Amino acid sequence: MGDLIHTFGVDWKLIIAQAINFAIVVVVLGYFVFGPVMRLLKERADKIAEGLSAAEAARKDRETLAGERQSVLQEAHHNAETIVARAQDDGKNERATIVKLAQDRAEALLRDAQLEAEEQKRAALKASEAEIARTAILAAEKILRSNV
Amino acid sequence: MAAEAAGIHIALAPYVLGEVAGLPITATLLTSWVVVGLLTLWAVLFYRSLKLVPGRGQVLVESTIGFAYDYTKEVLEDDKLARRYFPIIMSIFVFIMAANLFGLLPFVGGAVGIYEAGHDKLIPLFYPVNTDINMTLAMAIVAVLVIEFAGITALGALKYAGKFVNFHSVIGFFVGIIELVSEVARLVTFSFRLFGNIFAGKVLILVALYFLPYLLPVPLLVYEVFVGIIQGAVFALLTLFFIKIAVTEPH
Repeated sequence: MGDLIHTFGVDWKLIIAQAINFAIVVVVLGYFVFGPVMRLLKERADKIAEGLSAAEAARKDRETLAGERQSVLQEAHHNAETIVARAQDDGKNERATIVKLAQDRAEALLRDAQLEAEEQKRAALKASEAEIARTAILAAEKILRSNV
Repeated sequence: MAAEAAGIHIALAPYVLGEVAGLPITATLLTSWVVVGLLTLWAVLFYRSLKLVPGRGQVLVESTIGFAYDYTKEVLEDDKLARRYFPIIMSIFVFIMAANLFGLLPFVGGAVGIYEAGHDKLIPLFYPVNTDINMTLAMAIVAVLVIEFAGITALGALKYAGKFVNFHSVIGFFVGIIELVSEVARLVTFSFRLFGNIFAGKVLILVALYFLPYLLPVPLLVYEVFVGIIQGAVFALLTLFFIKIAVTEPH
């Protein structure tokens, strides 16, 4: 055994020195590499999870908004249709009223015109009767004058 | 025991460069310090360049760590345990891999060294860290201590000891003894697996360099890169699996 130890150069001081070297490596790597990297990996995983949930929330928001917009649009469409229909009805009624009014006025005008025409005819007749009478009197006077 | 044959110098024991306050400074220890220093430098630079929106390098490190952590969690089936032991398991992988890859650099090995006047040979300044049984044994001891700690904290000292010593039945008793022996054997298997792989790789490259210095070492170096990474992963994975065995309730 002693020979073996001598052959391989086993020395407990060297073993301890190498163990200390390894301990330094563990501490250094643990402090500067493994710890920070593990923290970083976790931090990044958290960030990604956060980002994913934010994206999910945004997607939901968008869907809700799209639904809302759809319903608003539908309502607007509906309203527009009602308004147009009402306007059409109103227009139809208005037109009927206007046409009726126009007809009434036309009739009234016609009636007035007929009345006036009749009046004029009557006046004309009266005037010509008077003329005829005067002419007849004149003619009678002429006849009487020549005979006398 | 130095096997010296026509220019190839191979020793199982690490090269001693000097001694400071009773601590022998070996080439492997010096290399180990350099590796720790480089890892620290890299870690600090990495830490300072961390961003929430990562660059390409950061993505690579992050995905590696993320993958390893998920795997650890999957094996241990417990988030708290995974968080507690992951840094050690991952550090085992990173340290062993970094040390192995650093050991393949050209100036590590024979090229740069101290010329020892008395022995008339070059003592390398840097040498692959895991060719030193002290290093692999240190890692094995740390790993086994972590495994036992995991078992004791998860089950309690009495219950954990009950895995190894129990008198419920004769078979149970012997199974316990076998478990105990295999527990101790882990020290040996852990340390010698890594040592053997990396030492053999170094010898292989040295021999190849000696016989055919220009082309032959290239595929071997590629292979050693592969081995270096795999051995780091094997050490870390075995530690993970043994932790899982240790924290599992006896039945």
